[in-house]
Amino acid sequence: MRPTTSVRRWRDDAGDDPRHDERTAALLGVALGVCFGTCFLTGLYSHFAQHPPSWFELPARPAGLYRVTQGLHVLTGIAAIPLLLAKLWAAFPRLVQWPAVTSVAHAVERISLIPLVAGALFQLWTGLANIDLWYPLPSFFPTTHYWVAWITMGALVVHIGAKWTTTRVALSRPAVPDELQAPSSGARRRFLTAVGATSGLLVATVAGQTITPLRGLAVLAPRHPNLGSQGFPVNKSARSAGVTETAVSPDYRLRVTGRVGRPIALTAAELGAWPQHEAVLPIACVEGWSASRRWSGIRLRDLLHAAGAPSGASVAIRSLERGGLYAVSEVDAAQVDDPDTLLALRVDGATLSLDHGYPLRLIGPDRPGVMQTKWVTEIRVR
Amino acid sequence: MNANDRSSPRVDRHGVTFWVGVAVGWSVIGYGIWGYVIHVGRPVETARWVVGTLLVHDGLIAPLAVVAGLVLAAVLPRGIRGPVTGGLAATAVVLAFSYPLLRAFGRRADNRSILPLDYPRDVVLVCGIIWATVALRLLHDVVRHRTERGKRA
Repeated sequence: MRPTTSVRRWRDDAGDDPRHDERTAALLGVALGVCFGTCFLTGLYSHFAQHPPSWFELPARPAGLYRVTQGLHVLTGIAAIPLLLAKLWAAFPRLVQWPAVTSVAHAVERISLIPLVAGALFQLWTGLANIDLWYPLPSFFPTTHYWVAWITMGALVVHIGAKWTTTRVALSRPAVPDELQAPSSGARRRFLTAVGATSGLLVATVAGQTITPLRGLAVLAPRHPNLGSQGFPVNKSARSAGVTETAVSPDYRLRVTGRVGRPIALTAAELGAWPQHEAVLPIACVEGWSASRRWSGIRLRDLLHAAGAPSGASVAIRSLERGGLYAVSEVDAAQVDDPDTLLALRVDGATLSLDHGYPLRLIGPDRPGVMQTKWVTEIRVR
Repeated sequence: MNANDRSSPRVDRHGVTFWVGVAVGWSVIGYGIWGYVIHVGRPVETARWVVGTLLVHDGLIAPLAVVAGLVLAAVLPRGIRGPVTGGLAATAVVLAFSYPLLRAFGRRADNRSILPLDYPRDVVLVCGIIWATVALRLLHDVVRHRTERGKRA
């Protein structure tokens, strides 16, 4: 449909505005490409950590790797929000270009924008909703986020192929001294400065939920690393997990089962009599917050050794929680063997609160928070 | 093509790079669609949200932003137009970003560590930073303007 006269006039006026030109689009496009590329790679790592394919083993070191990758994932996603809105605004006049397509290749290029724009907007707003623990979608967020990411990234590859030459040309213009610059380049610079500043402002108001020296600035963060039971956040409470009675019951036992020579069953009091070890480890949530704490408890490998488990075994850790998606987590052989992989009874010198997994929780290096299983009741050796 | 139609399509080069991008990109899109259909629960209802996001942006938010820009350009004096328009745009982004926090959709009675802050106060604070920056920019423009006028005199 041919645009109306007023739309054409607006579009043509925009053609003279450097905020809508190729250089602006190229600069924003490169920034967005870096953000989406970072989000995609860190998102893949998080997905593989939680749903490991057969060829993937979650490394135990560096201990804070997941904290960094998932913090980056969320913060680059937040940074991309103003960048994407600005990019779409800059390119919007071209939505009503006429003729709408000039060749088969141009038609393919424009059709590929549909999954790109829809996917990019969808990923950012639903990702934001997720870190705020708001779940408006009819489907499970992580699965939806993962598969729409592939669609979006595929469309981004098409877009990069289409704009490769244009972007290189737009960015390779020689720098012009300030006094010789047209007034228009000032308009572009001011626009991009404002967009960058808005991105920076949003990141600064959230980053403190994982970069703890910035916690004082974290005024729009959905979590604060120092607020919660025992001074750090809780993802799932004991009440919502339905373990308020079973976790404190005298019938509680930790059982080591499966491929072991000597099955073990220990009461909460007997767990406290085992040799205790300390480790300072972060608890890092998929939603982008993290907090480093001093944990103490029993080394997982010591328990397995006492039970006569074969070396190099992996284990499944089961919670008292029934039916939750994260009631069981897998621990690879490398993580089992790590001296800092603990079944913790205490944090920062105090007995674990019920919300943090009393009487016993798993804490290990480089594990997503949902895999730091709370209210542990069974270790099954594979 | 109309010679006066200044922003009619700029034809990008559709060479080898483009077609390699199309082949690789659409293979990845195809993989994504396959996984989406197989693994995402209620794929049709969810797809409505994906498409709806595009329609709401392109059909509502973006046109409103364009109209707001035209109205501001018509009513604001030239000297303050840029910083004030930028301030309004940044404020709109901060408000949209903060919407789930302000509505407290995620808050749970049994877990006070979720959304633990006073977000209405904090949004006012962040918007205050934006408008303080706008005010400083305007002040800077006034001082520079007077200095330049003084030099000319």
